[in-house]
Amino acid sequence: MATDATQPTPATRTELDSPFDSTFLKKLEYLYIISKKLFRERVKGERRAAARGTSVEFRDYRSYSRGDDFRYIDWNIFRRMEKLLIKLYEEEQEHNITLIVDTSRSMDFGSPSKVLYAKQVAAALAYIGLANHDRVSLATFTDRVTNVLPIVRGKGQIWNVFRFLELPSPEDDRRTAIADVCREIALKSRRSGIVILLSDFFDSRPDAIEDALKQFLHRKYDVYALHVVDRDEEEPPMRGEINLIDAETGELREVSVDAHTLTKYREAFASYCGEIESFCRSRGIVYLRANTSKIFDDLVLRVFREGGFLD
Amino acid sequence: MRFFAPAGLAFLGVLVPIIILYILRLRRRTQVVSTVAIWDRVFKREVQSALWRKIKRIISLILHLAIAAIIALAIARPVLSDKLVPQRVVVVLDASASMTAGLGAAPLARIIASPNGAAMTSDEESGALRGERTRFEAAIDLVRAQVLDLSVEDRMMIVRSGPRPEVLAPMTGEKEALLRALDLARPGQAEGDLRAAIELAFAACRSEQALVELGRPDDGAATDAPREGDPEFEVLVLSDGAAGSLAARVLATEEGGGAGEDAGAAGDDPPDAPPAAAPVDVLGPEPLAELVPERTRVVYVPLGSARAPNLAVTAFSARRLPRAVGDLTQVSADFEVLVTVENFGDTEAVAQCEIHLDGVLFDPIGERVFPPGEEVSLPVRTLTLRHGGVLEMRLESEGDALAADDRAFAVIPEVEPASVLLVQAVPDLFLSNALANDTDVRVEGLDPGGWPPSKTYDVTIFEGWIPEKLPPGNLVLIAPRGKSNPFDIEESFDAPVIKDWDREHPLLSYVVLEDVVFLKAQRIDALPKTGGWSRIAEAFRGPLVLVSDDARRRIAYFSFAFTETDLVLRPSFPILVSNLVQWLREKGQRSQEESVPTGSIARVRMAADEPPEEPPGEAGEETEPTLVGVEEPVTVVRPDGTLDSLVATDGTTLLTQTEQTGIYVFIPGRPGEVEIWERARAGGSSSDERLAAMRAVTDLGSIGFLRAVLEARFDEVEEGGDGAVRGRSWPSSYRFLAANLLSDRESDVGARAALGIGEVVVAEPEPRSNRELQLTLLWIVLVLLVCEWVLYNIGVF
Repeated sequence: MATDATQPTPATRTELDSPFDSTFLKKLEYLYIISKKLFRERVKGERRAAARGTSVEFRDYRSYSRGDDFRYIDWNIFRRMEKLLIKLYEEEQEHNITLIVDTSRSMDFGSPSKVLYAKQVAAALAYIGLANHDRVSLATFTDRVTNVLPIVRGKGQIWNVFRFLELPSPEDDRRTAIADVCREIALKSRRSGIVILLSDFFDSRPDAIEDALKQFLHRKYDVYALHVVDRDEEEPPMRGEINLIDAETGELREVSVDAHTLTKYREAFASYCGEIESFCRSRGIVYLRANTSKIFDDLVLRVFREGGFLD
Repeated sequence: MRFFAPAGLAFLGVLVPIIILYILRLRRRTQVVSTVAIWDRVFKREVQSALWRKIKRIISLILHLAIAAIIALAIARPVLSDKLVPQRVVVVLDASASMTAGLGAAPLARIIASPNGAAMTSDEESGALRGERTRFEAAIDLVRAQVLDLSVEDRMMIVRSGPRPEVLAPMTGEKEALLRALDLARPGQAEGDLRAAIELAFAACRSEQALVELGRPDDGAATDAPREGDPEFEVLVLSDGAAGSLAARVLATEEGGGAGEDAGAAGDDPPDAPPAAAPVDVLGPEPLAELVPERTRVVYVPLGSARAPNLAVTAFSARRLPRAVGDLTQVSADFEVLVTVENFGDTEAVAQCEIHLDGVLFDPIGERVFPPGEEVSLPVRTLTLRHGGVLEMRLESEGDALAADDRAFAVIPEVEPASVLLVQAVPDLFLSNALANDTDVRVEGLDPGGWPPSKTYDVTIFEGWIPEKLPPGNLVLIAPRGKSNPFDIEESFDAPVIKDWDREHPLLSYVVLEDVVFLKAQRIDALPKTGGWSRIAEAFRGPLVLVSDDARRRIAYFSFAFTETDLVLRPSFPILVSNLVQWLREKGQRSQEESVPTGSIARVRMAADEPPEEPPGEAGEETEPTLVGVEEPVTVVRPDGTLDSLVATDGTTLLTQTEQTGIYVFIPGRPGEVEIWERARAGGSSSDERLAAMRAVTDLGSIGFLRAVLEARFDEVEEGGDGAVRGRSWPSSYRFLAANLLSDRESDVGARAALGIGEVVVAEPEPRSNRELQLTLLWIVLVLLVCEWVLYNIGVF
């Protein structure tokens, strides 16, 4: 059951305990200034559409990836350089930015926790969107949509965004059902825009991730998949006889972990992430993997630029 | 099963903590992870069933407990024996020449006889003892297996039975030391003294038994009574039995079992026992069985076949022939070569016989047939040799069992002319001419005024005059007058008539004194007590010829002048002069053996002359200083080309290691100097050639050195037209020694089935009765660890 977030007064917040305090806000301001230097200012609809722009103003090239529309391949370039490049065009319009944050139990894992990391990134993106006069909405989910912040606009709404992200996750069973959640959000949206999905993409259904992302693709969204991982998930610090318990399902695995097992685990984890990335690339979805061990502010600029989110 | 260290079983207590650890291991650490989906990929969804996991744990626990229990057993040192008895084994390893024969293929009758008389026979031979290996190699392998079977409490001693018993390893339990001693053991080409080796083994057992008795606590009981836990003693004899007298062998062959009934304690033989199995004491006339220490078991392992074909040179020597009639030379240059060959096999044998002189074929005797069991003398043509040389007899036949007796060597010494100084008061042409006509004499004259001479001579002849002091060396005094005369001469007597003379004395051999006219002679009434004087020609009124032969020198004294007798006109005179020089010079010749049996101790005289020795109590005579303890380095080149360093004390050196057949060359100097000098001598005289030769010595080593020396010598040997073989002499300082086996009992290589010392005769020694299982248990632990590792990894990969 989704509940609309109220707008609590600033006095109700406890800034001392909150990760979204004034210091964090200064970081966001800094990030915004940096991003402004990277782009030419626009009063309205300043953000470009990263793909499938329909205006005639040419913007840039990017490399072809599987699933791209053949019509946008620049064949002249191919003939001269034998490289497949996709032409990008400016699409100037007012954007709806929807930030969807996974708050399931698996996101509590890590130090800092993946959910906190995802919320900080969501806050940063929301701030940049609000500052660019885009319409920003947020949602958190587990096996359902737990909280929704309706569309807000204007830089001053950032505090509402902070309060929304500080709302605690429900204590009940917090499994992940990402496909159902995305279908619900997509159905309720009246107009398409940008969807940024922040999750660890651990779902009990093997094909749930693909189903979830397809919901937005069918409704002409520009989809960004931000895969949040923790260092301990990539390199589990464990040895010996261990009972592994799944944080969401409570399933038990009795394993004997040694160096050989860990090597196999690293290969399996890389394979899992690679499958998601490959799917996203094939469907034109921008896929970014964010490790919680990396510094947050640097990451927003560096990783997002590499992924084409800001550039 | 018994345990050497039962306290080690306390290690079983480790089973308790293993079980505790096993229970603790079941409490796994719990770890919450964001998802188990990735881990499911790791294990490829081969999630082991709970039942299999439980079974695996139980099997793992059982394996761990088994490993710990076996380790505890190993610490307790279990042995497979009803009684826990340490053993003391003395191995007698026969290293005589016959042990270099092959094992042979003929089956050896095997007798297992116990000291109490029970016996069994078998015609089977152990396969391990058959094949192409020599008997000695088989013995080494058997001893090595015995060493590996020793338990920690066991001790072993290894005695090599060569010409003299040699302890290769003292009584020890260190297997490394015993194996190292076996690696260094080599068979010889000499007769072995097996009896002495066995007696040494018995003595070692008695000594060990005494130590055991001394180590007992003083509890009032008799210390010499055997107690439980005392070690068992065993003498293990590994031999072919070719060590006894020939008579005993013949007796055993002819009389079969009857000959050995009273020898040893082998007991009654079964009716079908083969004759060779008769327990005859082949180790000497005194029964060795009576010397066996108490509580000592004697085990004899016969090696080799009872019958083996073998041709052997049993005698080889070169004898100088007497001088022919009319030959006035001092020493004959003709040699008669004696060769006998015996066939020790059961069948007729054919062999190619050759005699070589200094490596060159001298007499190709040719192919000869040798009947079984017979000794045949071979005709060899007379050898005429003025210079020294090395004779070698070679015998080549197919299927010969022993190679060491197929070759024999003889050294022919070089004839050196005798140096004679003639000091005459009045010239005597008869004596001068007689000496000058002897080709083996170099005579020099000297007037009494020129005395003393500047050098020494083999013989000094004073005729009518003697110096005030007699010089050292062999002397001839002819009617001398003077203070130094050994006799008190106061008067002479006229016309002495010969009464008798010693015809057997070498000085008067072929000399006829009958009817010889003497004008006068010195009257000698009494002979001095010292000097060993004796009369060999006597007239009615006094002696005419006297001789002195003591340890130092010889003196011939003529009481008549040669110018006052008609003896100088008779044919006997030149014979007398020749005899005189020959008899006297024998005293100064090198008294060394030129051929010795292998294994004997050889005494070699390196100096040209015997050291002067002073007769005790001869006052008033000036003596030369005696050389005592003067040591000079000597290098001996062995037949295999290896060099060894010896010391010659007062000109004489002793060589104890003569177990190789062949020629031993003794060269003054140290080995390094000798190599370079000899090589340079063989290579040439220029400085470049010498330098090249020195480098070649470094490259070739000792073997190359010997080959180069011998080739250089043999190249210069040639045969003259008169049949005499001429060759260049070796340097006079070199000495040669031939060592030959020439042993009937070693050449008769048929292995004997019993030694007659009350032994247990087996074809293969039994493994130690109290063999420890420690190593076996550790191997089992290793296998269990591998099983545990495999079990642990099931399901991981």
